[in-house]
Amino acid sequence: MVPRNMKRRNFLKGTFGVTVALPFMESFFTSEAHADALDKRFGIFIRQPTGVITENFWPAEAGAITSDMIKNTSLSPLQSVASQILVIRGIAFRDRFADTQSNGCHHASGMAQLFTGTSARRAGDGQDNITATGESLDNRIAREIDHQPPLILWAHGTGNNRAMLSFAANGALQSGAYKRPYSAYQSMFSSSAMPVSDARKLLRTSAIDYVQSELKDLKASQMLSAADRARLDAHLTLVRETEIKIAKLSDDQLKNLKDRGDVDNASNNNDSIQAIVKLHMDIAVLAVATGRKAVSLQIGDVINQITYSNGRPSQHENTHGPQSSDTIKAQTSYDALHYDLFRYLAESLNTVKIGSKSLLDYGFAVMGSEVGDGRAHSFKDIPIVIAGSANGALKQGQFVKLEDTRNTKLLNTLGAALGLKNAAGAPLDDFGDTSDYVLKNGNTVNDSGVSADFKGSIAAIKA
Amino acid sequence: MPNRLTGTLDSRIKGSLIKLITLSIVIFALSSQGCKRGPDRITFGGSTVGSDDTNNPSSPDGSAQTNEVNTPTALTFTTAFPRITALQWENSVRDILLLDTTPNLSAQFPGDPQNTLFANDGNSLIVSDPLWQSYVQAAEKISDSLAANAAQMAKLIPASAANLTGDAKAKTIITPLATRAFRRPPTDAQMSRLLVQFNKGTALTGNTNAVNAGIQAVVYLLLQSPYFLYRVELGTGASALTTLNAWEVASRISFAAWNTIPDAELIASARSGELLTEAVLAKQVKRVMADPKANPVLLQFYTTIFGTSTYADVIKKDPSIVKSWPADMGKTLVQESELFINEVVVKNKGGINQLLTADYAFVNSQTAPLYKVPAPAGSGFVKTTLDTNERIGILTQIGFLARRSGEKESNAIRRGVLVSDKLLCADVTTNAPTPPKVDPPGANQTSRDVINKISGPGTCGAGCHAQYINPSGYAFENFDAAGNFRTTDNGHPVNAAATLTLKTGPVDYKGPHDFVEKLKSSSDLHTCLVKKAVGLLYARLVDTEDETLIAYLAEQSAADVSTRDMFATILMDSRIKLRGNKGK
Repeated sequence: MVPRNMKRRNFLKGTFGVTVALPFMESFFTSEAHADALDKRFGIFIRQPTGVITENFWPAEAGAITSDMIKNTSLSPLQSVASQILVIRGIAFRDRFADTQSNGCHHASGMAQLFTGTSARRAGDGQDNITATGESLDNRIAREIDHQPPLILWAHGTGNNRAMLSFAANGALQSGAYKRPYSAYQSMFSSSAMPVSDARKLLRTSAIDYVQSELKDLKASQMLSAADRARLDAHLTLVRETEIKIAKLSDDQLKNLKDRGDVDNASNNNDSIQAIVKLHMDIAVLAVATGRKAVSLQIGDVINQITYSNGRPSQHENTHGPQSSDTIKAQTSYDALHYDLFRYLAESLNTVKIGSKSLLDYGFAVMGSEVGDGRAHSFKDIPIVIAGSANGALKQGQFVKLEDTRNTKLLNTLGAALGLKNAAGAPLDDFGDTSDYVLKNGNTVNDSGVSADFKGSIAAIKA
Repeated sequence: MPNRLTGTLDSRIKGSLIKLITLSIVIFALSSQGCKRGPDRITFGGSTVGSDDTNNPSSPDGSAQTNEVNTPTALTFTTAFPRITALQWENSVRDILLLDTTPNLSAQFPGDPQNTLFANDGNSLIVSDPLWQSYVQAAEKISDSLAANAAQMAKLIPASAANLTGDAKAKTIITPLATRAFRRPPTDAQMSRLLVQFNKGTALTGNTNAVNAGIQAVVYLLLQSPYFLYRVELGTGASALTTLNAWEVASRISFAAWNTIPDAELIASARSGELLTEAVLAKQVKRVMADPKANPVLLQFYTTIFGTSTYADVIKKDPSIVKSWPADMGKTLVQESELFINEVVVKNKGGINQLLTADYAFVNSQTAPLYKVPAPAGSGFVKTTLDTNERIGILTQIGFLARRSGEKESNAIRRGVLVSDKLLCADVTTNAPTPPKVDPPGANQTSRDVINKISGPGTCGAGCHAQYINPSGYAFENFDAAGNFRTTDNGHPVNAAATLTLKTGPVDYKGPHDFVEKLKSSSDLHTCLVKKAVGLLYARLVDTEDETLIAYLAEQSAADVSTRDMFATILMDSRIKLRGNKGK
């Protein structure tokens, strides 16, 4: 299907599976959002740390995602939402090879590129003193359709590093990441909507029930016009969204947010990792359910220090250490944990019903990493999983294999799915840096070869 | 109410309603034979108007024609769920809860859509997300503050509830409260829900006084109920027209005239169903419009048309044209104009003709030098007769003249736009280009010369400006940017004569007085004002099916019928009972 207003040349060149210079993935993009869905659209951007164990992550063959396809992969936790996800292999960053940032930290460089679609660049001395050369898509969405900065969450940040997922502009890291879920919650609501007693919640809920009953009574009136039905439906939706705002967090949950959240954020055990990420995901769902358009969530530090089990080396250390079946098994389990958390987010978005649809139908959540294979620190085969169709704009239930395709195209596709436009008013296709790949010497390349560094890493893995 | 009215047609209306004339003659003949003609006389404080033969106004051309106001057979769709405006919300909350003052919370609401002059088009009045959040928060604030005010709470407990207990007591308390909120008694299903809420009051509010807790909890619901927030107009019939029931008609009348809920008498006439009879409808409308609660809508009508609230923006004038222009002069001009409109329309039961021709203004120490009258003592305003050789009516008062000028130069375009757009309904604002820069006049120029040069004949403004806008503004060239009367401009004689293009053709005028007289005599003016009144009171866009009513009322307006009476006629017309479905 040709999206409305899409340039013909883009469509012709953007044939599925073919690497093209034009930054738009028509193959995933089915239509633009309808006007009535635009006010519910959202994008949630998540970084899972340190790539994946390649051989245990990707399904063998492209096609419709089935349980059989993913049951033996790190994606297996996603079986319950398989029909609502899109898994993409073959995404690469602009800085085509991980060694283009001479002496720079691959993780920082990858994070600067992940959702910006631009090159990373050195911002000063220090191996990880790296920044992006353009804004990130969460910022673009927030700026254009939310008119406020994106909500930035940072689960299990130690504070010794930076949240560097969201960029306001070239060289401008978006500030204000919330490590405490409770603080993020407080930031979202005015004082009148702040946590209240369960009794007050009961009173508020009583009105929700009452108003819903009356609106339904009115809807049952004979011979209402379509316009008046729509008017009542719109009001019912507002009431339902108020219900979400009131009911989403119980007193216990708030206490959890306030007290346990801080503990879990600092703790390094597996249960705490899950708990704190889920709390942040609750906040993300609450945010988009109540109208926020863009949320980013960074799991872990730039160089991930999470050990997932006390007494073990961190995930990052694991990737650098001698590889054995045990370390690979451990790392694979971390990957599975990350995708189990992504399942939690997708299911939470599904629980928010809007009429016959769920919140997940109106937007998307995308999870990616700053590197492809954690051991190689590669900038190819970046793991990308998307949940949600953005009101039918994105395909779902598919595993797609691409050939060395720039993440810039992916980001333009996601932006267009939410209705963003390019400078000419057509679906977004000029976000990020759409020029060619670069090498560390500044020369561009068009081949699909891999660097010596990358080849060496692969060889090490295989050994 | 009968739907045949007799009256006169001015020449323009005759043109537009030529097909009706033959029919009208037949009706006139029938009426002479005893058929009931015209509406009941509308009497307020001794002035009697109406459409019987003795009160038939003559048209400006002296002809006497007969007109018929039809009952529409179809009307363009309007929603069955127009929400109440912010003003109506304030007033209604006050009257539902028997408060002494409005809660004054709507300033925090998102504004009502401004797509119509009076920002009250029912189709545009929806409940948006931020507005819904505002309603919810306001309901909580109001019910909480009610709980903290024992005396106020006591007002909501009828004496008849004193000796009752249990559900009987609760129902006795809930029924009048819900009836005021819904503008009709609660249904059994609603009462059941409200009763459950009342009985859970203590658990929901923490208030150990069960009755007060119940009221608090119920009020919290009522203020979020769609039956409160929408003027529900389900009526019966859904083809071309829906006929409203008596409750819905009572609500329409009350919100139109008072911007609040019906009072006990309207409720009683709705409860009995008598409101749907012509006699009771007319009686109730007369009562409603005679009530001082209707004064604000009369004021609103003209202050909105003349844009008097924007006079507050006139904060500076060039010292070369006025010695002193205090910083609060704008506020003075707002007050002056409101006092004037109140005097003419409310106190003296006048209308547009009187507003345009009154020989007085309300003057204070700041404006007295401009009007060249002695300054009154103190800071108050005094009704003062002006020099009628210089001034006539609201269009020659300082507010209009100064607001529609630059700091130093008068601006015939800005003056003319208001007259053309708001008083003559000339379509001059559609596709209006960015206003051109108006330079000060050169040595051999007047302000009019400058305006004519940039927008007169032979320029891109030849269409709208040269024909409609500029001639509507040149009439006031005798007044400078501060409103001072002048006979010369930049050393040259003022030319305040021009030719105004009306729907009936070109009309020459010689100066401000002649302009006002020609304006007053034009059917364009009265038709325009009536259309605006119909839109305001029916809270919808004017429909082609309204033409006969508009034509009739335009005649009345030309014949000095008061605006209050005109409003009453609109509210007792058959249209008050009808809602359109055409196009949906």
